[in-house]
Amino acid sequence: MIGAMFPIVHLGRPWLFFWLMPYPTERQIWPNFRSPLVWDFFAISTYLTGSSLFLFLPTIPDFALVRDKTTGWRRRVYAILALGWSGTTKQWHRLESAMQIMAIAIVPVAVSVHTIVSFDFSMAPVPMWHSTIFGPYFVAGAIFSGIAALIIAMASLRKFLHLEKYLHPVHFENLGKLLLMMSLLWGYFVFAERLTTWYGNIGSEMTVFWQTQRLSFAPLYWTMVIANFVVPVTILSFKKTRTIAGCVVASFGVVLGMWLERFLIIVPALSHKYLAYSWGSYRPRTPEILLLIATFGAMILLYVLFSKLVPIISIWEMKIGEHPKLAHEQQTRDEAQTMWRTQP
Amino acid sequence: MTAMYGLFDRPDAAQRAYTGLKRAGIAPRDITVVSGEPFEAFEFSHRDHSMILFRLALMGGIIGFVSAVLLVRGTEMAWPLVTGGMPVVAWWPNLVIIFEMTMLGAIVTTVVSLLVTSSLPKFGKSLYDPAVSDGKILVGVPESSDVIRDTLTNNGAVAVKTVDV
Repeated sequence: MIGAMFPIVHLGRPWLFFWLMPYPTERQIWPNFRSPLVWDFFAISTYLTGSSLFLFLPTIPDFALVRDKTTGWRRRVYAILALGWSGTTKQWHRLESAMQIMAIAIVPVAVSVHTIVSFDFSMAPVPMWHSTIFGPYFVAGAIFSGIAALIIAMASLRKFLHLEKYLHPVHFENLGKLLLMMSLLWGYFVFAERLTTWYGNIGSEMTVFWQTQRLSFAPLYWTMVIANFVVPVTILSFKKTRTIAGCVVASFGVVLGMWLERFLIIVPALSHKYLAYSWGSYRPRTPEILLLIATFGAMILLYVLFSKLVPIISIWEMKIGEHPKLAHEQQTRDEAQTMWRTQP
Repeated sequence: MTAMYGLFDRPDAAQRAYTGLKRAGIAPRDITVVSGEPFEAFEFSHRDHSMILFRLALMGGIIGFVSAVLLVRGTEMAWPLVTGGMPVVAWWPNLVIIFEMTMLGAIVTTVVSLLVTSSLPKFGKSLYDPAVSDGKILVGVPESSDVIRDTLTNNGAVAVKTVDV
């Protein structure tokens, strides 16, 4: 939701954002489907719809459970959210099938939405933007920062909601390994992007390149490299430091580093385009700083509200984790009884 | 209509009751099993297996694909403006829209199919007991008789109740 807001903010005339929707004007002119801005509309709408539904589906049985445990207006609200779910075998089977389909479908949609966000840049003839690596670079970046944000959210929930019983150190260790892998992948993409630009030695691109490597944006660039690569790789490569605290420190580094990465994609390139007369400098003004703070605040607020109103850990899926043990116990008991009966 | 159901603590007891009801001559389609979690390891959860959602999702994807092709080609041909030196019907950029609408078609169809085939939303009377949320498993039939009561009780029901549905 926060991400979807930003293309609208940057439209120039945000109150006319509905012009992106695929319906004709009174003169039968439709949106231009060859424009990356319209791709954004389709990609973000599909991703928002898909991920919202993918989030909602497994919560239906939990809403039913909460419905049975509450009274008054809360019961009525959760009864509506539960859609009259009772938990028949047919409902369970259909729900699991739907979740399998959604799990398969949401992956290519996630890849496409982040690729299309990268297309917003790479379709433009701006130095350092017109790059074929931008698609996978943005997809990897999204997964990278997503895992980091997930680790921070999990650690916060574990501490403040006392979920130690459900969120074990092994979960953080495994996510830490994934974050380490994504950090290495990110490093590889950055190296590939920088090497090809340097080797190509095109004047307009080299201007932006040196701005980030040695000149005014170099402090931010090397902070990004340290935060996204050096810190996570150093902490997460060793089992001894791949603790909950270690993973959280590495994740904060990644969140900071990925924010700097997006800043460094946009600002140095736009302030050093082809002709020197258009070069300029940029400093964020108060409204921009407030917008940034507000988006962080809105995200945290929405997440806290969500964790307050919705079971933050799926109750029925936790129960399923106990089934293999149950089935195994039953099988062992049956085998033991068979042996007992057959042996003299 | 009066229905009778038993509440069970364990899925193996519910399975025995389900088998017992079948042996008592009740058709499997008339036996309702309600639980707070799916029990894939037991026979009673296997009878409703079906691939219908996968087929419907595929159909939804095809409908999304065809709709997208018609939308992009139809609207571009309706007002043939050359943009950015591209052909009027430019398939490379159109593929982005076509892909997104195909996936949207599959996703929306999956959710609608889930709701329709699971009879959701459903806010009327149904064979349900709030004890299911406490981990009990409900096994019930849309009729009541002493045979059914005995079958449920003998197979470990902790409570047997009747309800109008």
